[in-house]
Amino acid sequence: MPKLSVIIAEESYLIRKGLLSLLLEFSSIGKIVESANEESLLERLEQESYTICFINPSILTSEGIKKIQEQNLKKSRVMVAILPSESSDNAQLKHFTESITLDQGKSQLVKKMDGLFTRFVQSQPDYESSSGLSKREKIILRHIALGYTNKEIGEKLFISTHTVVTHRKNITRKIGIKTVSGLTVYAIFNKIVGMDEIRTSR
Amino acid sequence: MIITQENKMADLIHMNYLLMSVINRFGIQLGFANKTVDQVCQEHKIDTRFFLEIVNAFHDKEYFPDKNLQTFSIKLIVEYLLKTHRYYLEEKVPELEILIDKMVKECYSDAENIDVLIQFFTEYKNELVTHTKREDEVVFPYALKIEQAYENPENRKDLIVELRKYSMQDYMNEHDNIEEKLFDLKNIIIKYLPPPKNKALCNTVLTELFNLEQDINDHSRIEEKVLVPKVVELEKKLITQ
Repeated sequence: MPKLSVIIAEESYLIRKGLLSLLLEFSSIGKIVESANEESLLERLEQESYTICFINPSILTSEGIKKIQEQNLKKSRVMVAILPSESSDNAQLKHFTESITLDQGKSQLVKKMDGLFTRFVQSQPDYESSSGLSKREKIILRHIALGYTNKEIGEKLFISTHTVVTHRKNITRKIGIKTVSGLTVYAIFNKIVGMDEIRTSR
Repeated sequence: MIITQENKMADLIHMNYLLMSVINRFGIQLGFANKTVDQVCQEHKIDTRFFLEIVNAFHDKEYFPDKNLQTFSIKLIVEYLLKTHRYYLEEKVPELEILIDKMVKECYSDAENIDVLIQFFTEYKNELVTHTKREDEVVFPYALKIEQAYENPENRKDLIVELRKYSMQDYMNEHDNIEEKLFDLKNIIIKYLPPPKNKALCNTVLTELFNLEQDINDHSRIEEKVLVPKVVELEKKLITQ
C-alpha cells in the first residue's frame, strides 16, 4: 500500500512534536516532515509533493498562501489548518478545507485523521490485498513446495533464475511467509500441491 | 523505564511479565516479597550489575548497546546464553509441542492435511536443536578459550593455533536466522487455518509463540551485539601481540 507523505508547518515546537507523535501511530503515514516557519514550508513544498499539509495559518503571509495556492492547482493536496479552537478565526482560513484544533482530545483527532487518510489510501489501487497469488506465482510456489531450487525452477519453466527470485519475493510479500517449509504448508492448505506429491518428491 | 538495583523485584514483573522467564533463568523463583533487585541478586550470588543489564536489554530494545554489557566477562555472558538455550529446549519447546499437538486435535480435527502443522513444528524444533548444539559445542567453547588465552599468556601459543582454525567471523557467517520459521508459524495460524473450534487454546498457542519469538530475538541480540564484538576485539588483540 503506498503511504501518505505529510508536512507539518507550525511554530511551536511542542505542538509540532505532539502532532508528529500522533501521526506516527498511523500505519498509512510514510514520510513526515516538519517546518517551523513559512520560509522553510515553501522551500519544502517546492522540492517535494506532500499529500497532506498540516499548517498553522498564522505563520502564513498573503504572499505565501498565494504561492501555495498556485501549487495546489497542479498537485492534489489537502490543507489542514491547525487552530487553537473551533471558534478561531483567521484571514487565511478560506484556503483550508479541513482543520484540527488544539483543544480536541485524542479520539476526536484520530477520527478526523482516519477519515482524511482513508480517503487517500482508498483512491490508490491496492495491489496486495485485492487478489491472492497470480497464476504464475502459484506455479512457482508449487515447484518450491516440491523441493526444487530457484535454478531448477527457472530451467523447468524457461525463465531466468532472477525472475524466479522476483516471483518468490512477491509471493513472500503477499502471503507473509518466508521459509520453504512455511510456503509448503501454505501450498498444501491451499491445494496448490498435494500431500502425497510432496512425499514422493522428497 | 530503566530498571535499577533499588527497584522491587516484584515490580519488574508487574511492569513486564515476560521478564518472569528471564528472572527464572538466573535461578530466581517467585516469592520475593518486597525485596529489591539487589537484595535478591545477592541472596542468589548473582552479579547485580549483570542482571540489570540483561533485564534492561530485554525490556527495552533501545537500551542496547550501552557498552555496559561488554564490560562483563565472556564466561558470564556465555553462562547466561547457555541457560537460555536450556530454557528453550527443556521448557518452552516441549510445552509448545504439547500445546500444538492439542490444538491440532481439538481445534481443527476435521481440517484436511492438518498434520503438516505438526510436521512443520518438528522441523522447527530440529533446527533449533542443531542451532543451539552448534553454539554450545563449538562457538561458546571457542569464545571461552579466547578469553582464557587473553588472560593467561603462558599457554597462549597452542590457542593461537586454534584461533586460526575458527574465528568469530565464521560464526557470524553461519549464524542462521532461527526466528523466521516461528514468524511463519504465527502467520499460518493467524491467516491460513480455518477458524478454530477451541478459540482459547488457539490463542494460548499464539501467545506462547509471540513470547518465545521475543525471547529468542533478545537472545540473538545478546549474541550478535555483545558476545561477538567482545570476542572479535580479543581476537584482534591476541593476533597483534
